[in-house]
Amino acid sequence: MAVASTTRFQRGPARPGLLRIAALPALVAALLLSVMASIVFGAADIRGETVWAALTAFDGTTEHLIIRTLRVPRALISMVVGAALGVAGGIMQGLTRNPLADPTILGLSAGAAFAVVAGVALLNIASLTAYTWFALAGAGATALSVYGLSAIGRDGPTPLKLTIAGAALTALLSSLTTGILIFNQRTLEEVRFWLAGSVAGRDLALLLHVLPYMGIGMALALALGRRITTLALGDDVARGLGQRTLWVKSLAVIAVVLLAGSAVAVAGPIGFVGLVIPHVVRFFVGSDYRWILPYAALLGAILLVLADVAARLVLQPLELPVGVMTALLGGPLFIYLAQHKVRG
Amino acid sequence: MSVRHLHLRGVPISALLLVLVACGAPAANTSSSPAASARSESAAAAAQSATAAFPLTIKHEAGETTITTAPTRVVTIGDEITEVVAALGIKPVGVAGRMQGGVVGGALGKTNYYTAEQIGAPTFVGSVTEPNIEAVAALNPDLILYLNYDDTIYSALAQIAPTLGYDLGKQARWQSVIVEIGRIWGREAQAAQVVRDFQADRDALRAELASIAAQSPRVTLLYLPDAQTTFVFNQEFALGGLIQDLGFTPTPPPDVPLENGLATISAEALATLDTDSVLTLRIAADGALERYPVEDVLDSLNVPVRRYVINPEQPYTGPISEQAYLENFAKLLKEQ
Repeated sequence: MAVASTTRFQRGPARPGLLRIAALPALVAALLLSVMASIVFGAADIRGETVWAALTAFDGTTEHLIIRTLRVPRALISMVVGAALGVAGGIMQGLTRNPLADPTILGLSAGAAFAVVAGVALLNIASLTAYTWFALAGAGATALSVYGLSAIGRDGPTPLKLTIAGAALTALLSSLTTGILIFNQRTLEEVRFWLAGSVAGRDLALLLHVLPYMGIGMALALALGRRITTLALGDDVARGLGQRTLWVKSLAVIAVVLLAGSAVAVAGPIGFVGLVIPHVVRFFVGSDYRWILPYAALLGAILLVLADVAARLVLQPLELPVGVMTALLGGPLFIYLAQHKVRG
Repeated sequence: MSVRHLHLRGVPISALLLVLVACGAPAANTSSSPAASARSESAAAAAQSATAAFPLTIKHEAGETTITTAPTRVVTIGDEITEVVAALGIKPVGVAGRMQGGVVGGALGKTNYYTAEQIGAPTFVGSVTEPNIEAVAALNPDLILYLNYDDTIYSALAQIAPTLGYDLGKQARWQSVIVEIGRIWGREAQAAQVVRDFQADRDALRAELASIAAQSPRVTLLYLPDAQTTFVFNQEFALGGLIQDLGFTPTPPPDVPLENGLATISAEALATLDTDSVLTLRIAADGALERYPVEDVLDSLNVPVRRYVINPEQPYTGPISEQAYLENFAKLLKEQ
């Protein structure tokens, strides 16, 4: 991927700080409405009062179970995963100064997929919980390897070296994954649906496993906002302003691994959220990552929740994987970005 | 004739069904397989004197193929078609399938479904979706039987040897295919006997279940490969057809558009299910089965929900597998 100019995509229309503060509660409200929509709407036609009763006076009927065991978990998981991917994508674009960067540039998805596929083929892991831990470990190991490779050399982990190392490891791990699946059809059958990415069928216990990691990652990301803004101006500028760039990059990568790694571990690889959301946010709030990251969290959550609702309703009673909907929504915007935003 | 592709979410049906191997009752599996093959082989002994007339033209889902001499080196691509050939007493020299640990060009690896008596010691030539064309060619086959419908793969195989392509996903399709293939070796009588034996067992089980079917005719057959995916079948598909064979009515949720007898549905669609009982197919993992959220929804429907744990390597259809499915379905449907 080309490392684009730092200026073109970083600049957005400036907005007074008051507006940015005022818009946050509006976004929170929009997120709550989206989550409510995710709980209210689905393939089963359930009335509003029944939804409310399921949440407040659960009686074990089929409709109440659909609300509690199917819709509420996927609404919450969509929200958390979308927020994590949005923030991780914002950090990656600031860290690499590349408008086309997203969390997968560190090889997170490829590493998670390889770990799960290898686990199924070699160790016969079978439960979603096991998939989650293997995916988290695979994502983390891959990201650390990418960072380590890119750190070789006098310059340390530059954006270009990070991108190249990530692309190389992604290609290697994807090839190994494909190789295992070609020679092991049973593994293919067991993991194919996980590899498509989905927020369906997960219970909240799965989310609770990774929530501590996501929480630490989110706190770290938000704390790094100002430093990433400085780093996005260029390494030389950041160092000239007294920033310890190596520390900031290291902590930023850790935040991305915790956020995106956890997201992939729970929901499998879901694309476009980390790529598209930071650009949408940047258009409204400018180039200050102290605003970009919290807005990316909220918008990423809203996008994934609404994409999941759409995935359930478009072909009901059939369902599309949520990754297909995010691609349908993000793909055209990605093309627009590639054509208009990346300029010298 | 164009080949009809049976794909579900990009997964060939053969791969999908691969997962549906009976594992929950291994004793039942092993007891039914040898019984079926023993009956077949006794019929084979009687029928083996017949010879085929060549050249022989056979119509199949991929077109028409003319076979000029009796084949002695058969490669089967797909466990379901391997099973059909094995029931005729033919031992393939190469197979492609879902066997765990198979080494392309080498041994099958651990396969706990077919016995050596049934299929001999064929060479493993890859998976159903990605058979290794070079490994197939190296075996110098004179007949290839192909289960999947990838035109590119079919074309490549047809250049090596006469290739017949079959769609065994349709209800009871194997019963006509085995007779068609039996012509090649002059074993139509044996093939017909295999079919008659199966149908006799089917009719006997149907009679045993008649009173239950009269009271509770609707059975919803679901396949849950993982926590996020729910497949439903009707009688057009092989497994749903077995439910119908036993005298029941395969009953998917209303307004579900099924293609080739199956569909993936939202778990929420089960809320509208109007049925008398549910039969869920689950793959056996080492250890306890993970409970899926959709199973909580099923339990709330106030109809019997029975779980059929299947061996990941068992084919979804064929004279041997369907015998096991019939017996296990019948056992579960008898449960009160």
